[in-house]
Amino acid sequence: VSVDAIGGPADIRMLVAVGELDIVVVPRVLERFTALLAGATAVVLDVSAVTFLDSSGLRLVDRLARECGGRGAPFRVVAPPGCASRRVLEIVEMTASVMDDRLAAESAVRAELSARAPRGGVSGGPRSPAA
Amino acid sequence: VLLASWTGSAFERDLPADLTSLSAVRRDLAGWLRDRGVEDEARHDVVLAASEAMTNAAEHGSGGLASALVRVRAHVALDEGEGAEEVVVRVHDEGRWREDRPSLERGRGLMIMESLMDEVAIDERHGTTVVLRRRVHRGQP
Repeated sequence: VSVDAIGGPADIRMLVAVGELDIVVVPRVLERFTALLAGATAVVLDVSAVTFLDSSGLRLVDRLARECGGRGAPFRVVAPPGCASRRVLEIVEMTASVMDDRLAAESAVRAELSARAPRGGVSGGPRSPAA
Repeated sequence: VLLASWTGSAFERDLPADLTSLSAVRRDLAGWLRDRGVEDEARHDVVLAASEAMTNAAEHGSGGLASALVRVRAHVALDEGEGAEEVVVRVHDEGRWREDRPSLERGRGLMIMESLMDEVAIDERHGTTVVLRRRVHRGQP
């Protein structure tokens, strides 16, 4: 049972959750919150393999969304139709950041990064501010 | 007129309010429902709603103390008037969590329970008991 950062595109922090996200597990994940997000410019949380997610799991999604919002980092959740988490996210209408698969989530955060970059440049390394 | 009768053995667990056994109780409840031939979707829904109720009971009713117990009882009832069966889950604690400070998380927990169950009732006469009811179609176990 864990949430961990895995290797992925350099500009996107990919967090993959497995097991159960409930009242027992989520506080432990939140303890590592700062480390999980350190230096991230965009975040994708993949809950496809989560077998159980409840209102405590939603709190984790919320915290991530708020933290990313605060630092201007695009954020998406990967929860394919039919997976355990998707239905719960739909019940509470937290679907704004939900994507069907990782590729779609990566495209979405990249598009957001590009749109924010000065002079419409592509995302990637740090840029000097426009004069 | 009470036309409901119980069918088969009941599910009974008492779990410490520190919830260290929450995952095991979910698994046991899922197994009990499967043994009674309750179809997948209803089984998942009942387990999720019961888990939300146990979480509320432990956090807000019993303060998360290992010494406090959350009582879980479930049975399948046959409503002879309707000819339908329903799973009834009762989650009891000695506290009064509705008087506690409302939180976004607990609001969502209730929203999830109400969305997944046919009926969610809260009885606060002796501590707090949440009663979840869900109609089910049963196949072969």
